Amino acid sequence: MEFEPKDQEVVDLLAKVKNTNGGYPPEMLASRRQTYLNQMAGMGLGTGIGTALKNVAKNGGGAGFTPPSAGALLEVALVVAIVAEAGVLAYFNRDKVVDIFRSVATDSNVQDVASPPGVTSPFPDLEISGSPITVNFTGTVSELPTGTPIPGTTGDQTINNNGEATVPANSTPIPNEENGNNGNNGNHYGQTPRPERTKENNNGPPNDNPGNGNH
Amino acid sequence: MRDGVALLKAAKNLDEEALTAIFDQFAPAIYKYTLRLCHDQIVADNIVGDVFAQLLEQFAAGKGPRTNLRSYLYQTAYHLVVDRSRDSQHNAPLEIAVGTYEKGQFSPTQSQIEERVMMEALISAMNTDLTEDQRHVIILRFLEDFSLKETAEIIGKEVNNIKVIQNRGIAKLRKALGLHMDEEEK
Repeated sequence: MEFEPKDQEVVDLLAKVKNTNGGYPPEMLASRRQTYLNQMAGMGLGTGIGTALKNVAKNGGGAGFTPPSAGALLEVALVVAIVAEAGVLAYFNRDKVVDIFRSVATDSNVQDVASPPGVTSPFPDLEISGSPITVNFTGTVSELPTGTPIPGTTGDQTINNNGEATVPANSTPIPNEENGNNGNNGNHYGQTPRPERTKENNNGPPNDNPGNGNH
Repeated sequence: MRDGVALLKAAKNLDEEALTAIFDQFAPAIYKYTLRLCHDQIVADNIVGDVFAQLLEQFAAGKGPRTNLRSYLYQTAYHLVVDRSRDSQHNAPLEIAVGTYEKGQFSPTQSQIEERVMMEALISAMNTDLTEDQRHVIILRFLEDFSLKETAEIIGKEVNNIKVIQNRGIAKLRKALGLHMDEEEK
């Protein structure tokens, strides 16, 4: 052993201690041995079954098991029985199955986007004409709506030769001085009145460009 | 008697004869080892029972030692002793060994008395001066004759670490014996 000479004395003493230690008391050893044997017997009962199962698995089946060919036949028969049962169930419940398929098929139609009515052209400015718009009602006008009258349409309905009611539509009046619009011709771009300065700007930069309010 | 490998192989197959042979072969040694670590014969006996019960469970589960059955049994005993010492805060004295020696059926001569004094001093130093790891290593190496590698496996440390622990433990014992011898001389 790898000891220094000065340690040899300690090692020799340890060897003597090893030989002088007490042994297992015989009665205690016998009792412990019996307990161990009982545990072994109890465990052997459980492990015997496990071992037998393990052997069966290793050997691919013992005397109590059917041969592999019979197992394959049983497997095929089981699959056929399952398929047949599923078919019978589907036949008797075919209405429900059809309903389910229809509901699934129609669910996608709900998600279709309906196009908004009345949109005829992407360029509405090109359809503006100077003549009043004539709205043609197909069919007879039997009763007028009693709701809030539309300004400019009440009493203006005329019946043409085809029995259709025509309503002359009034466009937005052209602003002018006669209508009392105070010079507002509808074109407000660049005509916003410039706000009056309420505080003198003594320190600010010189304002050479008075501007017209259109910044 | 079957050799270790054949015995272990038969025991793994839950052969009753092999399992019984293992108990008969190792139970006294495990008892001595645990008795060195814990000063109670009942506790040592219980640990022996636990060690072999665990061995049976491992074999039944298809586990257990693969090569070194002796190291495996000592390792199980070591862990059980450590667990018990943590629970009860026992510091594993070796009083039983001293008591057994004192009850020896022989009439000691002068040299035997001196030797006995030295051994008592050594055992006392092992109980008081060594750390837990040093005591375990010293016992496994010099009282149970395990190699450095086996001791490392049982305790769960590296071999180099075991060497360091062993050398420090021996140095402590040497120092303690020197002090005792000085006191005896006085």
